[in-house]
Amino acid sequence: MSDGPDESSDCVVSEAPSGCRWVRAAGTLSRNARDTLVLLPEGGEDQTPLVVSGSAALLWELLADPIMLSELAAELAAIYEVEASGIEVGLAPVLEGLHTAGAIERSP
Amino acid sequence: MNLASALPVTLEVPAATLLARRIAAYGLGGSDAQNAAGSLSGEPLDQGEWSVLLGTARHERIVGLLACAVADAALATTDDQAAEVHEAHVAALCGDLVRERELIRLVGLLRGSGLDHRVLKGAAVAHLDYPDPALRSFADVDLLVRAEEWDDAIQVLREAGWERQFAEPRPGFERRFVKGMVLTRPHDGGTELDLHRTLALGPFGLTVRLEDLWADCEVLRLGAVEVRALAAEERFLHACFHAVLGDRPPRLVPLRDIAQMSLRGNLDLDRVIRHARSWRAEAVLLRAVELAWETLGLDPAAEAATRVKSLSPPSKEIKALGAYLSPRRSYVGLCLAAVRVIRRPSDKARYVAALAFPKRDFVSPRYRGYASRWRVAARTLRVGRRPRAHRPSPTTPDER
Repeated sequence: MSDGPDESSDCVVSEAPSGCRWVRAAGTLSRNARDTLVLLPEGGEDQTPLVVSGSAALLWELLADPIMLSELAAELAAIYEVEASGIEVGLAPVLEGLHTAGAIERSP
Repeated sequence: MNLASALPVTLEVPAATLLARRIAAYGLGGSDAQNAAGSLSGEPLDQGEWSVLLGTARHERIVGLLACAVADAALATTDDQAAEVHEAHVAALCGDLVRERELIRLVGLLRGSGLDHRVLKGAAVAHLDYPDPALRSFADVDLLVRAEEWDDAIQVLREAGWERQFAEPRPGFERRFVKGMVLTRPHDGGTELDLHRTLALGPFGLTVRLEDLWADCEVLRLGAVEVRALAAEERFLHACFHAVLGDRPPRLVPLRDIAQMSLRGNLDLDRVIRHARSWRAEAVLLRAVELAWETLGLDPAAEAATRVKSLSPPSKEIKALGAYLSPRRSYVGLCLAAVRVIRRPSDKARYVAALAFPKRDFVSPRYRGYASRWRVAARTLRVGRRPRAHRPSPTTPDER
């Protein structure tokens, strides 16, 4: 169980090693409302829920098991029938935001 | 469109209420026709009717079901209306997660002190009985603790900053007799904790065999933490208690809970009926199922309905239920009714003495003094003897 971002939290997603895998932080609470995702990472009293729109619900499903950014992008690209490279560029800051908030962590 | 033209409106029930009931039953039947596009309304409601419906859904805590019906196009909406219900749903889910986080902390607090727990109502039912917890929102945190650990639990919570809403009338009263206590942390978050000892106020709360609530459990996972809830049959009976003995009139959400659990097909009805009988609560079970089936328009041939509707509760139970369902329902009336089910004379004496002569700090927040409290009690009893068109119920700790 994570108490928030691990010691690699200063390693932003876009600079993480290419083999780095990401996974939901075990303590993160979540709900889906259509394609909107509501998350509450484990943390202090001041931590407020994050509301992530777009294809966030699907992204969260894929993050149930450790997965690399490139694999995530490929999965989403196949579903949405677009180029994976374009998705990867857009996905990196989303993962970065989730990581900073403590909602996801690097898989050991 | 006009709601009244879309629904079989009766004079007694407003059209928005009828539509809210159908939304509360949404997805239960599982038939394609029931869930088909436009099955609830093929045309968007006009803005006034929509506002009433959304307000009703919030009050009845069925925003998740409304959002689901809109997403499935079973209820036609304008784009603005769809956005509005989505926003309301997301707001409700944010609240649910904050309350779940509080629940995790509270369970950790109790566990850390060696105290047992069962998560009750919304948080448990949402995860264990609904296909998606986003369909079932809840407004507070409900936890059951063992009667013999009641005082310790209160102490642990107070040390953690939780404040009880009311003082105990006499030492030892709560662990023997109360339904529960509301606790809040006024300076640290708005979450309300409803700490339970049993499942209802008044006589039906005192005849619940508390050991049955602890004999078994179901585990649910919230984030990284496992918490314990009542087992399915006890959870179902609690939903029945909540629907029949709680708010008057009942909200739609406990009725949906009853239907949801009944129709999932994993309920051991023999065990439910056995418990209801030993808790002297067959009348509560019967009334709850009748109410859920009538209100939500469910299939009368469903096994749960036919089994439960064949029960013949004893007249004593029907009389006791009358005290809860009467428009003259009052805290004093339920307290008096509870005396009849307390078996041991020494317990009866303790119960009556504590309520008749409570400690001053129990009296002072709500009354100017003992004399004022007695006057209110006498007035309540006097009023209770003759019919009145309308009389507001007194606010009491157990009425929550």
